[in-house]
Amino acid sequence: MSLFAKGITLKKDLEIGDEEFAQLRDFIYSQCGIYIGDSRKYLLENRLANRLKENNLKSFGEYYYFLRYDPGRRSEINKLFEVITTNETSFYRNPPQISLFQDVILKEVVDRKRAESKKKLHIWSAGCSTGEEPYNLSIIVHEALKGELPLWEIKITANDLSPGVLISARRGVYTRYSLRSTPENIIEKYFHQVSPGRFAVKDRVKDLVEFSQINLSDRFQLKQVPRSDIIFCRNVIIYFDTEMKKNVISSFYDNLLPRGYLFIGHSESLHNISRAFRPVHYPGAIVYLKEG
Amino acid sequence: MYEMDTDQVLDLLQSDDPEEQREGAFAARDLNLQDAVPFLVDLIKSESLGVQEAADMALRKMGGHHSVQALIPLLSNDSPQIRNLAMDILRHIGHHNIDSLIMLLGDKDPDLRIFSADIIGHSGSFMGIRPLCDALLNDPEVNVRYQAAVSLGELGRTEASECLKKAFDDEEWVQYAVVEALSKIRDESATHALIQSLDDSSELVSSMIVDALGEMGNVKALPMLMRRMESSPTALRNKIVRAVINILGSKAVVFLDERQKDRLRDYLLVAIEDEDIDTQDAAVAGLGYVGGDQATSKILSVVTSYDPDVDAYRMEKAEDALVSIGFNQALVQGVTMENDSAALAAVRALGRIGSPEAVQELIQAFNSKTRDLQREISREIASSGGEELKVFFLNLLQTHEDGDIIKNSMKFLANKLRDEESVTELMPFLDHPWDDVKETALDSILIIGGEKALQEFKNMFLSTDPLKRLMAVYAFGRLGAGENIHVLKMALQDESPEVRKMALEALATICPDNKEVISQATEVMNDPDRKVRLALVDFLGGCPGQEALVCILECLHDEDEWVRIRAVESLGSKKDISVVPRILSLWENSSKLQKIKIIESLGIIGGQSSFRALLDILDDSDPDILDSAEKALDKLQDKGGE
Ligand SMILES: C[S@@+](CC[C@H](N)C(=O)[O-])C[C@H]1O[C@@H](n2cnc3c(N)ncnc32)[C@H](O)[C@@H]1O
Repeated sequence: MSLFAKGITLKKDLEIGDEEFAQLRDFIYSQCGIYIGDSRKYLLENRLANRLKENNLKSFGEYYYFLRYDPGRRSEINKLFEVITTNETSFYRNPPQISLFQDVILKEVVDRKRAESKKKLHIWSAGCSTGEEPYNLSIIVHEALKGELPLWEIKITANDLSPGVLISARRGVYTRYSLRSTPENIIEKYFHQVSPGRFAVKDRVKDLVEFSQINLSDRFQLKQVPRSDIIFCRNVIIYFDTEMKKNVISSFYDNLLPRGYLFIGHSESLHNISRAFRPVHYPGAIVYLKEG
Repeated sequence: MYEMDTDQVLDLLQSDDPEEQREGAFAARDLNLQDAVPFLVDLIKSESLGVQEAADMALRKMGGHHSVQALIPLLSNDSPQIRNLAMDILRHIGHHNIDSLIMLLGDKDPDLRIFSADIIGHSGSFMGIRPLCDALLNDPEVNVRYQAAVSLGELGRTEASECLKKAFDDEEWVQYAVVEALSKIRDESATHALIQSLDDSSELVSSMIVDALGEMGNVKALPMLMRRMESSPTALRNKIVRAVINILGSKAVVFLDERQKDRLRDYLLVAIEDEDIDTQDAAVAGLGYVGGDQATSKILSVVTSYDPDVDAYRMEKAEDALVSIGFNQALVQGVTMENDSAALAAVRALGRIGSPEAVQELIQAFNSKTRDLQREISREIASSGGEELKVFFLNLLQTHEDGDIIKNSMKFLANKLRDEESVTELMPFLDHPWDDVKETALDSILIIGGEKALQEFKNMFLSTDPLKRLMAVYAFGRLGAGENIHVLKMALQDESPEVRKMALEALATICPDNKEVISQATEVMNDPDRKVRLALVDFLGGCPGQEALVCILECLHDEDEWVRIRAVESLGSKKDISVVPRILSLWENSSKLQKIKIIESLGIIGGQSSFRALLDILDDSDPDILDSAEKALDKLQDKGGE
């Protein structure tokens, strides 16, 4: 690009131009469906600056071309994805999975327990980020058991590696953005507005959930988690290497009670990771069963 | 970690409960408990996939003599799934007990013999060679012999070459695997074996051998290949030619005598027309080595079929060959060819040869050529020519209108000659209507540099045209801000904001050495133009010391948001705890963007006050702000742990 067309300058710093931003924003949207609004332009500049440095690129325009045409672009796209999505979460994330949990899996497990008159349920949300997922599960459990709830012993264990997100998770205050897929009646029933646009989960939702810090790569830490009926570990293992994936999934297998279920992210798979689970296919979602 | 003893682990493994069996398997793995092997192998047959997988993981990790022995019976299990699993584990750990696997090579079941040959091939063990050779030469079952050959290749050891050679008496199906195996062994003995078998082999096997020899690249194969070249039909001969070129590369010139070279050239001239692209390309390269006018013509005629855009790599190889043959009349003729690809290749080759006569030919051809070729010629000679071309290029500057050609000429005068005299000739191009030409002119003049150029820019700085003054200030930055500080100071007061901004950028290049520059620069603190103030913050960010810090703090109250944001950013990078309250005082009236920047800076600066502020920020209602605060807290936690 020409010195004069671009405005001549002696500066060497990286700054994202409007056109470059639009290109990258559209590219990211086309790749992973995450839309980065204009107000987050600066955020993008900040987060990607390191990627540019690591790849020895001189501008965001070059980075865009790298992502589109470089032979190594696949792995760079993953890194980009990682930078953008690390803590990304929300209530009712991936609705087909949530419906499957609510309408099929939870029902089945609850019915079985009722039949065995063992009214005890443990759910594990591994990699819970700011708490949307475990609170979401708690809400669904409330909806399912209603008045019967006090007769049950229920616990949702939620953990994450990042102390920062755990601080937020324990507070349990959420914005409209986190609640964008949540039905209005659920918001009314299980949240109270603490200030305009900010919603705190009610104590009865919180009461079922226990947060703590865990590193999923530490097998012995995982052994301390109580046995679960259902495990959620969505959008967490994507960035682990195969060896670590195998170990984590193996620990989940051991943790699950017989006929327990594992949910992983909808774009993740256990292929080449484990043959021990039986994948059960439903419209729009797969859940993994530990046969017992 | 484990308080379990052997008995407890063995008990777990023998339990009926799949959970306990898994726990036992992992414990056995972590303790490397060889006594557990029979039980683990038993669990491979478990109905529970979870148990099977745990046993698999354990056996793979532990390995050992007993594991191998105990797994072998599973190779004859009725379930293909279990057979395959056992096979896969044995490929990993077979080397721990090669003897048992060797015994298996004598089993009466041919399938088991194939399996064991396969596993031994993966074992990396020297001990496997003799038994595999034995199987290769004596097993009654052709599939076992085939697998033995494959596995010997897998092992890749010299000692196998002799027996592999003998297997050339076997069925053709086995011979394929033998050629493949020898090419993997690769060494002298393997080369010999292949050479010796060449004469008696079928045409198909011969051509495989020739390919293998070419790929292995041992010169010892050469005499045989050269001999066979004479007596072979065209298709095979072309392959031989290709192999010879692959083996020899540029050494062809040294290794072959004149007569051999002539013969090889004849064959290359045929092989270049082979339908196989790789053979064609090898022939092009080969002709490059053996040389001759005829070689040049032939290469150029092949190039006529290239599309320079699609076949860029082949073009380059052809040019390499032409260059290596060197200057000759055929190449000179090439420049005049109708076909663009061929003419282009000839131009580039002459340019790269770069001898006076080659350059002369290009200059002579210049006027009669199309614009594209003229561009190419100007580019080529600009990089190969010297002082003698000065007049030619100065002349092009005066007479030519094509932007590329003008740019090439300017680059030549700057990069090649650093010719201070031509600064006068280059200056007018700063007024050229096209930006890229202007840019090259400016860049070229600055590369030449020197007193004359500096004087030109000093004069230019007095111009009434702000773009001229801008260029001048840019030039001062590139020619050395330190020496031109006095003009830069004047530039800070220029009426054009672009010029003032450029002056700051120029000063930024010397700030760390020169603190007095700061007080000069801060005169623009209240500049009416935000771009200038942004440049000021940038400049201050790069300057060490309290003085710059104080100035940045003032910029926090700039009316323009981006100035404030960059100031916050800049303060963050200075990691000075004392500025935290000042940064926080902005919070209430900050936009989202500015808040995010404040958060990030707090995360970088750290300290108690940053931490407390970040906790308060978690009450915010904006997800991006929350996200940034969580990340900043993680950062502080990391630092706290250090
Ligand atoms: C994208 S979020 C997923 C949140 C939620 N499960 C969902 O799907 O919406 C991924 C989370 O995994 C956490 N994480 C990453 N590596 C981890 C590890 N080794 N141990 C525990 N958590 C980890 C991250 O901190 C992040 O909060």
